[in-house]
Amino acid sequence: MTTHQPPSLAQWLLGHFGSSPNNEAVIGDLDERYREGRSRTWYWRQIFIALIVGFIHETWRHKILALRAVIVGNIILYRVANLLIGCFGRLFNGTVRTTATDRQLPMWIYIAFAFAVCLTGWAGGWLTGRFHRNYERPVMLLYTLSVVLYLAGFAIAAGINYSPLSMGGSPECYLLNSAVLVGSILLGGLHAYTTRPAAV
Amino acid sequence: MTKRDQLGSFELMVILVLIRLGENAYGVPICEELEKRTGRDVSVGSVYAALERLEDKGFVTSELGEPTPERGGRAKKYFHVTARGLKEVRETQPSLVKLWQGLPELHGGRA
Repeated sequence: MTTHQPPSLAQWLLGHFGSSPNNEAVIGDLDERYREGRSRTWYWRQIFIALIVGFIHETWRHKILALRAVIVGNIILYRVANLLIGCFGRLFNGTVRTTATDRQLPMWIYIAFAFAVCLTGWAGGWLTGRFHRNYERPVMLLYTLSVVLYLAGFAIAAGINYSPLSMGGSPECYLLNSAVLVGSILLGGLHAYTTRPAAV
Repeated sequence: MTKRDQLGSFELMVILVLIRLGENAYGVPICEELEKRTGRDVSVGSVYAALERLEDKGFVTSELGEPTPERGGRAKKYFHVTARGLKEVRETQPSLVKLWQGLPELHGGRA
C-alpha cells in the first residue's frame, strides 16, 4: 500500500510553495491520478510543472504587486543587511581586517557571519511576506528569484571580492552565504504566510 | 469585447471539455478527457491555470465538492460553464470555421 502513497516531499513542496489558489485541488487531483497507477516520475514532473505554471500565472495576474514586492523586498534587504552585517563589521572589524591579509579566520567568525546573513534574509523574507498578504507565495518566489539574479549578476559583473558575502574574496564563502541568504528569505516568507491569521 | 476576454486555444479546448463533461467536471476527468481527445499528455497545473483564466473572464464558475480518501482527504473542485462562456464558445465557432474554409493545405493539399 505504501507504494501507492504519493511522494510526501513533492506534496509538501507544492503545498508550501505552490502559487495557485487551487493548490489543494491540484494536489488532490494528482493524488487521485497517482493512485490510479501513475509513476513517481510522473508525479514529480506534474509537481514541478504546477509550481512553475502557478508561479508565472499568478505573477502575471498580480504584476504590479509582484513588481512592488521586488522593490520593497530589496530595499528591506538592503536596510537590514546594512544594519546587521554593518553591526557585524563594527563588532569584529579588527578580526576581519587582520584576516584580509592572512585569510585564516577563526571558524566562529564564519558561523557568526552566516548567522547574521541568515537573520538578514529571514527578516527580509518575513517583512516582504507580511507586506503582501494574500499574494505571498508568487510574490516571495519572484523576490527570491530577483535576489538570486542579483547575486549571480554581481558575481559576474563586479566580482565577488567586492561583496561582503565573500568575507574577503573567498568563492566558497560567497556561494555558501548566498545559499544561506536565499534559503532564509524563503523560510522567512514561508513563516510569514504559515503564521498569518486566517482571513475573516 | 476586449482582447483580454477572448478565448485562447487551450482555454477553448478546456471549455469544450467542460461542456462535454457537464456536472462531473473536476480536475481528473477534465485532464483525462483532454488527453483522450487530443492524444497528448496534459499537466494538471496548466489545466488549472487555464481554468483560473476562464474564471477571471467570467466564462466559468467553480464550487468545492466533497473530500474523498483517494484524494488524501482533499476536496474536489467542480467547474461549470456560465451563460457568458457558452455564448463566447458559440461566437468563436463560426469565426474558426470561416478561417478554416478555403485552405487546401488543411484538406490534404500541399503544405
